[in-house]
Amino acid sequence: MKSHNFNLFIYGFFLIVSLGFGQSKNGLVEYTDIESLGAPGANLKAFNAVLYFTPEKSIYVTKVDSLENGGKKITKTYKKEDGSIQGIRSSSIPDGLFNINYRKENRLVSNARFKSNFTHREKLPEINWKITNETKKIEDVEVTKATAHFRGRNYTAWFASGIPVPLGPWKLHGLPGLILEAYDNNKEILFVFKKLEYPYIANVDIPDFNENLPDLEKLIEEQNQNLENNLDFQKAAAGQYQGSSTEGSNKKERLKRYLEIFE
Amino acid sequence: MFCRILCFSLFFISNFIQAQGYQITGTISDLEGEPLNSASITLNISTDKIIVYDISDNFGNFKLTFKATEGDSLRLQARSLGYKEFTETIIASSQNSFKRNIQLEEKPESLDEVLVVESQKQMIFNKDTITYNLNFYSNKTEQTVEDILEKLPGIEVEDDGTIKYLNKEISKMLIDGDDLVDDQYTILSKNLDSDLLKNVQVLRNYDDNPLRKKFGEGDEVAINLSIKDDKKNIIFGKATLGGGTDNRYSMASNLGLLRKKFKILNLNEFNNTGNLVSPQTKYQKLPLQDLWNRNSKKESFAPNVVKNELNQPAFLQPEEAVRNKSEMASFTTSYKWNEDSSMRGLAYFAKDRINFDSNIQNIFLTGEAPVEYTETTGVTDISPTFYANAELKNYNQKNWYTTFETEIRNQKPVWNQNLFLNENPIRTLSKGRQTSFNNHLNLTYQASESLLWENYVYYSFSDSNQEFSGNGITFNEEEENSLYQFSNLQQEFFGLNSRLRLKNAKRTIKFKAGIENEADNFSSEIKFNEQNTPDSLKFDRNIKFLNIYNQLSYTFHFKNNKDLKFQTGITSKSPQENLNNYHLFQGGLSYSFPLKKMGRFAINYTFKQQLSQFSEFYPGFTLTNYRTLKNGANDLLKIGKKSFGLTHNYQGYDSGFLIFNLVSYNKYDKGYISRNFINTDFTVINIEEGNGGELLIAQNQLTKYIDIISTSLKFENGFNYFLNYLAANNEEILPAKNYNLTSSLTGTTYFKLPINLKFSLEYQNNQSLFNNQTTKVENFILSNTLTFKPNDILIFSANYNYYNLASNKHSFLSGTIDYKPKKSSWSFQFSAQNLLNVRNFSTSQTNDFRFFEQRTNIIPRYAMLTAHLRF
Repeated sequence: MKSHNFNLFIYGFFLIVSLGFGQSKNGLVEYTDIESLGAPGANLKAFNAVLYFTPEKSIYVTKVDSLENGGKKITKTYKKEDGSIQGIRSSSIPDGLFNINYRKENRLVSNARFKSNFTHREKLPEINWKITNETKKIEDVEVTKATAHFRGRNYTAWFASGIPVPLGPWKLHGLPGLILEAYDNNKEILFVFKKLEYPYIANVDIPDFNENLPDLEKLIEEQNQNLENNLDFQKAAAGQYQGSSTEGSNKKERLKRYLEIFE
Repeated sequence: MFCRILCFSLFFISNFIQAQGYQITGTISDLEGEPLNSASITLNISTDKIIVYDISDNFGNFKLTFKATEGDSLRLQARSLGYKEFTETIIASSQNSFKRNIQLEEKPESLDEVLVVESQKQMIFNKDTITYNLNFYSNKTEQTVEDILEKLPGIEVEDDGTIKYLNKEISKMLIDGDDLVDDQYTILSKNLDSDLLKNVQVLRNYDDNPLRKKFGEGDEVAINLSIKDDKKNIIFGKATLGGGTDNRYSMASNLGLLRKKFKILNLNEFNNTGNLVSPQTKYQKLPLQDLWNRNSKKESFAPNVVKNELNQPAFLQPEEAVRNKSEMASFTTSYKWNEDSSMRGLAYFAKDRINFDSNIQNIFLTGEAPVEYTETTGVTDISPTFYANAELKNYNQKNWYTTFETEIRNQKPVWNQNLFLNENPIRTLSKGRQTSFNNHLNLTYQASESLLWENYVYYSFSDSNQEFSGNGITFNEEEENSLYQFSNLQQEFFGLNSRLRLKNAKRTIKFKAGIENEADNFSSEIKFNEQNTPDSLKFDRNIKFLNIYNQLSYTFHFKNNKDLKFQTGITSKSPQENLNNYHLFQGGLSYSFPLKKMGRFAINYTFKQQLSQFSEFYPGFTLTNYRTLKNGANDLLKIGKKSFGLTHNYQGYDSGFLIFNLVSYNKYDKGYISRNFINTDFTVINIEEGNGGELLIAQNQLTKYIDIISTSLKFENGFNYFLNYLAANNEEILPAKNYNLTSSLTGTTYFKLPINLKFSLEYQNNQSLFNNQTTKVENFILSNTLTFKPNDILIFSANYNYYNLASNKHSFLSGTIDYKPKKSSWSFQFSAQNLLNVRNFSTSQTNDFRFFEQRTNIIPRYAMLTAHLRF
């Protein structure tokens, strides 16, 4: 499937409402996706995100122009504890970032953004959730707390047993209920619940990626390559500005700027 | 032996209660045996704790492996979306492994049962952005953006339309991030349809200039209106038509197209229901050396000399008191060529015609025998305004940002008063013309992350003419006079202002310099009975200065967001006429710091020398109203001002708790004072150099959302003390002290009930002390609005206001019914004003040595029916 078709799908999502008056088991969740990778507490402005699900599969889309009044760009500086000034950047793009969970086929297709768009596939990752006793209410829906370590970060997820779909935002999944809220312990990644509509009567075609996509190994390679390039660039840039501190060659710190950390 | 038995027993018991491993396997399917994939299966122990769970695979298989103690009661639950829940209680027995095949019955989901759970967080708080959830704050009776803003905590809409967020006036109102109207935001707030809004955002630490914002220097507040998705990219509109008893009418329209690249809005309004349409304009005519301090533009606007000092009494709602005929048409547009370049433009014509009657009883406490007189006046005031403004912006997305803005304003205010001064008939007429033309070019260059260079070039010109005439005025006791005054005021500024900022984590250094050509020309001539004018009643005063200033400020940034700032500067004013040279110094020190869980505090001290206002400096007399002749000051004054300020700000958004405290004290070492001669027929004022005054302002504001009673409460206190010096019918200059105290409590309920309430209680105490005599006015105001919303299509609201103003008591009652049929683009409102049919309204005021009571005829009871069509 070519990207412009996918683009159409995203727009169709909000402009074309094809109503299915049959018994829909589909649902739509709106989240706010707040990321400030490597910059905890700098609180990037939030992006709108949606999770659309059917009994068989789901798609999570964020940072897409069509959900951001046509586009959003964020550039911010923040002060670190040591007083140094850092910059963070983020923006929405026409196609957005997506994760498609084909549960039946135990397959996950996602795209990541390095220099260009990188669409890849992987087996549905197993997340070893620990369910706790703690419960709370998110807008009158009872949710239970679960915790897990996943791709370099410790996540807390709040899931609703009353909505029995093992799905959630981004790659988070596998709990006996829909994840309404999730965040990592450093609060660098936050998925905040906004709205749930179930059944969701508009039909959305979730695209099928039949092509041979690069796998997880390739993603790791691509990410490492990107990291190396960035480090080189940082080293070159560090000398240019007096008074501005960069994180220089601290690779571990730099790694934190990625959503997924492969250890 | 005993020990052995005990040990054996303990071993046996512990073995007996030890948890054992269990396994439950099985399949989940529907009633027809079709396996269900992705169903969730959980095993809970009695406390509801999930001890193990699984998700069924493609064949419906699941497997639960867990530990339990024999006899434990466990709850097995299977759930799948669209199916009824399955629950079974299992008692752990000696059988460690067993199978369960579960069949789930389909649960028909009908459209009526759509589950929509929406975040009810009232505000979503990001670092610099506060997003208000309008589902929570709106009851859908609102027609304009202003109606919505009035309901949002932290935001205040003042009587003149000024919008403040936590006591700070907003600088812009954006639509989906785009600026269409610059600082003329009341055009939007008073006219734009509130139904377009998806949400409202307050942008804190805002700066229109992206480089300044990136540099971390934004300190303004702006409001962003997010537009509903279904109103974007299409032509939308709203038409309002209303008619009522007593020939009341109201017509309004909105027509717009809001695209990402191109936005256009046409807003029109015609009414005689008290809704004045001329946007409030504030002229930012700060001295050159203060422009950068507030990122302000230099705008000149020359006022008329004689002002229509008679105003509607305060307190009343416009629909209760103002007899008007108003018309306004505006166009505003913005266009983006690309990411770098954009333009916007605004043009409007607005005209308010106001009529009202007033009866004023004046008492001047000038000494042993107070001077008293009455004025019974009928006023007509017409103020047509044409305004146009355009701006071009270019940002190269890197280090250059350029804007050019030009604006022109033309006003032709005309007013007349038919009055009786102590039963002597007097007629006055004023015809004015005011023009202003302002141009601003801004160039910002960011050389590096630590260096920002800003340049501002401006040319500003304004011209004001007034022809004032009066009949029946008695300035000498023998004859009545016909009297004319022709006055002209021109102001011109041309300047270049520059600021260099160097910043790193530990310090910020700002160097500011500017040069300006300033001209202020004032001429006036008074004629009595068309005779030749004596010299003292005719003058031509010209001021020209070349101003040069330099300023340096140094801020230390300490850990934990503490800042210490020093500032010093000098301004030299070189005259081009026979005036003195002036050198004005200024210096200041401020420290701001956060305290854990207590918010942010700032403390500052400044010393500043400034030149007195030019408007009081002229060689001769002017008429400032029909009965007052004012003799201007002979010299300009160099005034020293010491200021001390303390502010405290706490914003606990999660808990809905906001606190704002402010204390500010200003002392002037000298100033202009007035010598007043007042009799029942006329007043003469002489302005001269004298003692400086003092001003103390204390404010306290506390907003809290109280969850248990679903009510937002705001408690506000204000205290002002103002001291100045004057003489009244006596040679002796005496202090005049004024004290104003205001205390108010306002609350809005957000019950999940059909009934909600908005209430406010306010107490005011004003006192003036002059010449050992005290005058005091106490006011008490109560306001209640009750809203009843029995269903989604009908809303009833009743408003009751009670005023006890210096013992004059008034009660007002009004009611409205809003009807909004489902799936219809029409909505209707029926309103009835002044149901108790109050005909007179009296208020009292006191300041310095004047006490007066004003009585006004107000609009009798009337009813209106208004229809709104949205498309």
